[in-house]
Amino acid sequence: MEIILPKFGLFFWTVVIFLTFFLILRKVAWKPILRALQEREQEIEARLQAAAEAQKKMEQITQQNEKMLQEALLAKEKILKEAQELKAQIENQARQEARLLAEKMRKETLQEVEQIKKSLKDEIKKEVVEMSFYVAEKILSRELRNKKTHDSYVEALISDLQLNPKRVTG
Amino acid sequence: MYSWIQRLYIFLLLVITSFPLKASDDTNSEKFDISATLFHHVLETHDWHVADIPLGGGEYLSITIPLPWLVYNPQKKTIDFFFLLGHSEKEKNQIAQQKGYVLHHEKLYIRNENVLSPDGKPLPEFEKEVEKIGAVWKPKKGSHRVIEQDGTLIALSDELIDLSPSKTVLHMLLVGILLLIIFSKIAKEYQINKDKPPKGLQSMFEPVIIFIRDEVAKPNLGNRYEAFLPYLLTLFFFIWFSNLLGLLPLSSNIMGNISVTAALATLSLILTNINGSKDYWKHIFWFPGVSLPMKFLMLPVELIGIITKPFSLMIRLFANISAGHFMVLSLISLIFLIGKNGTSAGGTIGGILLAIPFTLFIYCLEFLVAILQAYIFTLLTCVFIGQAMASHEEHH
Amino acid sequence: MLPETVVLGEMAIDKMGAAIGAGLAALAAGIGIGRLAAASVESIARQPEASADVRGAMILMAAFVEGVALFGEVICLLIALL
Repeated sequence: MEIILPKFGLFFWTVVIFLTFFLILRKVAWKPILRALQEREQEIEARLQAAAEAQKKMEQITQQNEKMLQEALLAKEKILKEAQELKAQIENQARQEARLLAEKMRKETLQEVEQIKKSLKDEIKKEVVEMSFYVAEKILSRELRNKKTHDSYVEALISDLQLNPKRVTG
Repeated sequence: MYSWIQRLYIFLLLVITSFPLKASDDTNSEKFDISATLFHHVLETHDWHVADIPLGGGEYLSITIPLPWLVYNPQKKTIDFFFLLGHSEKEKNQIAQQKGYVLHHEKLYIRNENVLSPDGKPLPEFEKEVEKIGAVWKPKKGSHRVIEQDGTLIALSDELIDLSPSKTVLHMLLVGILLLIIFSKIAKEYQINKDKPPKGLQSMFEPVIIFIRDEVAKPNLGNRYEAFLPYLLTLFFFIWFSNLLGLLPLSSNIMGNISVTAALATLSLILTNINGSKDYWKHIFWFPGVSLPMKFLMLPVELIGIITKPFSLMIRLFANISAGHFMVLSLISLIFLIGKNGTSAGGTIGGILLAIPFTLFIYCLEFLVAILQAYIFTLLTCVFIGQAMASHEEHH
Repeated sequence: MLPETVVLGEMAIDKMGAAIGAGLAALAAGIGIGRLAAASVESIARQPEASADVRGAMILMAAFVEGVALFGEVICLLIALL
C-alpha cells in the first residue's frame, strides 16, 4: 500500500532538487551548450554557403580564363597574320624598291652610256675633224699653191659644212 | 583490450553477482520473506544500508550510513532534525521516544499525548479506541491509531510532516551533482574545443542533446521550443541518470517512488497549464463545434483530462521502473527460495543457474527501459505543452 | 478498515483476482502493442522514407497503450497489497 501513496517529504524534496538543478544546469550547462551548438551549426551553414560561393566564383574565373585564353589565341593568330601580311608587304615593297632602283640604275647607266657615247662621238668627231683637218691641211698645203683653186675649194667646203652638218657628224 | 560489449558483459555480471550479497540482508530469518525483501529494497528508507558482512555464528556486521530525520511537528510547531542511530528498529525507537516520537515500521509518528490524561490513562472520550490495537479514528486533525509496542499500547498521530532527506533524496542529489559535473564539463569543452569536432563526453552526449532538440522539442513546440529546451533536457537527463543509478547495486530506486514521479508530473501539469493558449481553455470550458448539452457534458470530461494526462505520466514512469526492480529482485529471490535460504547447497546453485540468465536478460531490458522511459516522459510532456500552446482550428 | 481477506480453502480470493487482473492487463497491453507494432512495421515497409515519423508515432502510441495497462497493473497491486 505504501508504495502507491505519495509522501509529501519526498515530493517536496524532488521538486526542490529538480528545480534547483534545473536552474543551475540551465545557467551552467544548457545555455552555453545550446548556444555553442547553434553557433557551430550557423558557422557550418555559413561555411558551406561560402564554399558554394567560392566554387561558383572559381568556375566563373575558370570560364573567364578560358575566354581570355581563347581571345589571346585569336589575338596571336591575328598578330601572326598581320605580321605575315606586313612581311609580305615589306618584301613587296623591297622588291619594288629594288626594281625601281635597278631601273633607275639602269637608266642612269644608260644615260651615262649615252653620255659616254656622246662624248665618245664628240671626241671621235673631234678626232675626225682634226684628222680631217690634218688631211685637209695636207691636201690643202699641196693644193694651196694654187691660190685660186684653193679659195674656191675652201668656200665649197664651208658651204658644204653649213648646209649638210649631218653628213659631217654622221 | 576488451571490446565494449565484453566490458558491458563484465559490468553486468559484476552488477548482478553483487545483488545476492545485498539480498542476503534478510538471511537471519528462518523462512525467506520475498515480499518483505522486495519492499525493503524498493521503498525509500532513512538509512543507506550498504552491506552486511557475516562474522560467523549468525552474527553480521551491518554497514549502514545513517541519514537524518527532518520532521515538522504541527502539535509543537517545531522543526526537528535528528539522527536515529541504532542497529535495530527497537534501538532507534528508544531514541525517537525520547524526542516524543514513535518509530513504527520505518515511519515516524507523534506519540499522541493528547489522548492521554496526565496519569497515562486514555481520556474518557478516547477510551474506547485506545483499548483496541489497530483502531483508527479521526478526531479533529490527522489520523490516530493505536499500536502495541513493548507490551504497552501507544496512541499515534500521523499529523507529523516528514521532510527527511531519505536515501532516495540523497541519491537524487547525487544524480543532480553528477549531471552538474558532466554537463558543466561538456559546456566548458565547447568553449575550449571551439571550431573543433566534439570528443569524449562531448561527443557522447551531443547526439542526445541534438536528438532532444530536433526530434522532441522542435516538432512539438514549434518556434517556442528554445524556451522549454533547458527544462526538457534537465528532465530527460534527470530521469535517465536516475534510472541508470537505480540499476546499480547499493543505490536506491529513484523513479520507482511514486512521490518522485508525482513531483515531476506535477511540474509538467503546471508547465502545460500556464502555457495554455486561449484555444486550450476554450476547448476545456466551452467545447467548440458541438451542441449545447454536449458542451456541458464535455466540461467535466475535459477537466478530468487535465489531470489524467500527467497522472498517466506519473503512473507510467513509476510502474515501469518499479516493475523492473521487482523483476530483478524476484528473480534473485528465487535463489534464496529454491536454495531454502542458503541451507540447501544444490538448491542455491540451481537457483543461481536459473536466476542469473534471467536477471541478465531483465537487466539488459532495464537499460533500454531506463532511456526509453526518460524519452517517453520528456516527449509526452513536450506533446502536452505543445497541444496546450497550439491554436486549434475550428474543425474539432 | 477493509473487510478481512476472504479465504477459500488455502487461497486468498482477492489475491487470485489481482493476479488474474494483472494477467488480463498484460494480455490486453500485449494485444494492443502487438497490433500497433504490426501496423507500424507494415507502414514502414510500405513507405520506408516515412520510417522516422512512423517510429515516433509508434512509440507515443505504445506509451499510451502501456499507460492504460499499467493503470490496471497498479490497481491489481493495490488489491493484492490491501
